[in-house]
Amino acid sequence: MRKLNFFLFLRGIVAAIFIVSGTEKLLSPYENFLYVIQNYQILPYPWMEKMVALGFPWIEVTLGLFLLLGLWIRGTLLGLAGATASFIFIVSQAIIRNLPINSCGCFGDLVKVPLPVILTMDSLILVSIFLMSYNRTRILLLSLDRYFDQKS
Amino acid sequence: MNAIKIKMTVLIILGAVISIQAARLVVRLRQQRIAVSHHQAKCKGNPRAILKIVEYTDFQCPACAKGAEVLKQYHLVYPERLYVEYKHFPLEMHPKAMSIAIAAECAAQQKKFWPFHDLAFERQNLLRESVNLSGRLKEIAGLSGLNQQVFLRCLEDPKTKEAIARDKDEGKLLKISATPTYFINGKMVVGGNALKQELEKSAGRLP
Repeated sequence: MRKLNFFLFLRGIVAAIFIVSGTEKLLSPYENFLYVIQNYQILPYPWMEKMVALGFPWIEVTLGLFLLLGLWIRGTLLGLAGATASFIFIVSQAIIRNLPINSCGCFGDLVKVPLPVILTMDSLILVSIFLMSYNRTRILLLSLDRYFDQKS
Repeated sequence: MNAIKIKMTVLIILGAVISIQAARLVVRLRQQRIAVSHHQAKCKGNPRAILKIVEYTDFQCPACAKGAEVLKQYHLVYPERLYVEYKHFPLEMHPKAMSIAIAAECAAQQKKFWPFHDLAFERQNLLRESVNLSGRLKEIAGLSGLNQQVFLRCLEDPKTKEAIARDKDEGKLLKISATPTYFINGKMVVGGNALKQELEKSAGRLP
């Protein structure tokens, strides 16, 4: 039972991180997140930067919500792993290239987090996602996926 | 059952979108009610210009120095097309930004804000590395034509810091989180590069 609660707790924490991160960006002007993306100097075209600034927070909120509700868990975990791996790559390249970025901008205006700290956090999140992926039966407790599986 | 699951998924997504859009509307309505203050001494240009720009910047921010240079160039080439208003937004990560902002605010009180502003940005590296910041600021005050005694009294006056805090609080209510942030005819633009692109579209390119 303790192991089950631990995985549910992990699911809740990771979901909350993505929901809060996405919501904070959506409630601020998108120009703030656009500026963050521009500072990382990773996308080659301005229209790509704008697309990510407008679209990515919605993806964060959606994946976070699906994880919280336990909906399409397999696909959600894959999506979250992809997003987190991308963050790790983007932040790492900024550190290696010594870009003048003081705070990652990951949580919008809520929290200012230096790059090395966010790299550590993202790595822990990725590990959590892998743990949940390998223990899917345990995280399916109190989930919509299980509800629908039982009904069908 | 799969069809019901898909319908539930769509409902959940719609619910999230509607909730967030509603929250955004509330935030935007609150922002529209914000009473923005104006300080004539920190304005320059043609008040009837087609482009009215309000800038929130930090004297220790390198991107702000680049933005200031862009605006200076545009003022020289298109003086009739711009009206710029300066607002303080010193960031906590810049330890000297508040002191420089206070000095600039004191320059504004003697109607010498823009000469002080230009010199402070030109000497940004010097001010950042200086161990005697107050000495450097007095030097810039002197070069800007300020009365030193009035300047020094103003530096100690708590109302000066309050004026800066008011600008910053206003900026926070407008959801500014980075500097430089500009409002060009009400449209938010963040960063010196974005400013240049917007000015090229609206005022024309620099020769």
